[in-house]
Amino acid sequence: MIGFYWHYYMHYAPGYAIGGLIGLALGLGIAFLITMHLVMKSNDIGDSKGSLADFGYLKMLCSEDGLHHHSPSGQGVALIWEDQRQEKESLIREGFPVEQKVIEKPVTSKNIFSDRFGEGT
Amino acid sequence: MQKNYRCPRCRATMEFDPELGKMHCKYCGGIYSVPKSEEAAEAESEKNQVEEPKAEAKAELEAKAKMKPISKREKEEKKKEARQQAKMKMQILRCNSCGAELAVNEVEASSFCAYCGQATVVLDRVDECLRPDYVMPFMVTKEEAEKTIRSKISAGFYVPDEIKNFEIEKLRGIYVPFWLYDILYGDEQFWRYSVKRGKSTVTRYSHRVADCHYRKLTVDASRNLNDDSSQRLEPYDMDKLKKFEPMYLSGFYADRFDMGLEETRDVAVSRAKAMLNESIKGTIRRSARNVYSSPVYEVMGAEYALLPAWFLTFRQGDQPYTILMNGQTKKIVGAVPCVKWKVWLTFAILAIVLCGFLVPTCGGIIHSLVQTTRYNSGIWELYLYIFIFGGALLVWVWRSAIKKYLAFKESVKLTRSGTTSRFVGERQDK
Repeated sequence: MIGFYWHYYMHYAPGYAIGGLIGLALGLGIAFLITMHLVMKSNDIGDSKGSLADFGYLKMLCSEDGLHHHSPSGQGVALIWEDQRQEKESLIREGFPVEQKVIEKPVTSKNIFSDRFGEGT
Repeated sequence: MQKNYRCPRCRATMEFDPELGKMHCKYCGGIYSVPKSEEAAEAESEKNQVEEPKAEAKAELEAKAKMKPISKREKEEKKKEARQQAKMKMQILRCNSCGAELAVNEVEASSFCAYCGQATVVLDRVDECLRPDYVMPFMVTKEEAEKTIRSKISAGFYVPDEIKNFEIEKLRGIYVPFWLYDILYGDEQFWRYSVKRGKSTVTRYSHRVADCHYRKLTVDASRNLNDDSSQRLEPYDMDKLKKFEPMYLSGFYADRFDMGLEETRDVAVSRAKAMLNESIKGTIRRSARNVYSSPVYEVMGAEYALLPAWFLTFRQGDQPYTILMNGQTKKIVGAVPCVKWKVWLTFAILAIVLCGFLVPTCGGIIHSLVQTTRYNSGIWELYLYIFIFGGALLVWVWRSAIKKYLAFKESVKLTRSGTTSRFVGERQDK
């Protein structure tokens, strides 16, 4: 009998226990979040500060994935690393100028930019 | 030297009326426009005579004409400080109306007589060297301010009854000194993040080049008013700024600056930087890390302005509370403590309902996942992603809740600040 219950417990308990704990943590967290939101709406009658749009206008150039970035010299060059062979091949096919770096040491911000843009960066 | 602005008809002291936007005599009902100074009149006639240049060039010309170069401003300021040093202590003046003693602290530029209640402007504090460039006249009356603050506080479900029915200790309209900075701020940034491509991880970069022109970026020039409080009063509509005339101060309190350009320049630049970085970060992945930043900036100039705010103080027991209100836009700043049993009750009800649903649901889901993976180990990867997603959701929920809690605590602390309370309280009463 004890053996049966023991087997039953060991078979079903872990899933329910872990799931139950996650559900409890999630339930308490959401309850806390909603309560704080209601309290702030009721009692905190103004906490926002002025933002950038209130004082000025912003121009921003965005480029992603290192594919279209402009170095300080103004030339469009892609930074491609040794382990990104597939990216390099597709860029070459598109006719994009590609510079390959061979990784001999761990990549850090210092060696990326000092190697590419010169010392001092 | 102090001055009362007298009604031309009955010689009583006039005060600036925010509703009318003009000087108003409460005794005979006379209403008079604020006369323009010679300087302002000249500037207007020049504006009418000159040919209209193109819009962009015109805006640039106007900005350059209005703003003194910042180095010249700083030199002027040092001279002012040296000359005014002797006058900076508490001054005892004589009321022009009743002859009673009028005590003003080291930074007050306008006040009231404690005996006859007449509004008085201390001209020494706003004379040529210390003269503000601009003033934003009050557009909210005292009655409107009280009514709006009361209605906002009494509408709160978690606000204690003794606070809802608060007795006003003081309700004062104060012109707060600000420096309005003109800053060009630019930055080039690289952000690094990782992306999974099949079994390998690829490093990617986001590149941003941003330029921002800040016009009239406000920096609080009063040492006694907390920067956090003054920033929460923003934004003001700067199109409504007027050339400074001392008459606007009549009927309100006003302070001159006691933090000069040298002290506030770094604050202005830090604010400009923080706002730009926040805008850039909003376009970047959350997991990205900033690996390169090259900011450049130029402080093109600064102007001195008095901006209006209503300060309402009351007490709950021994604790002072100060609610601020933007004297132009009616934006209210402040937080009051909550009724604890109501908060706990709300939390308990929500927790019971949500946990009552989520505990068996999550238990059942996890249990079935565990059972399935025992028989089909190939899909354990999918379940791993579900766990990661669930974990991330859990972290996000708790982090957001704790952030809100800390922000609320900070707001209540600012509202209870003794410094702000003293800033309002230590003035001559009407």
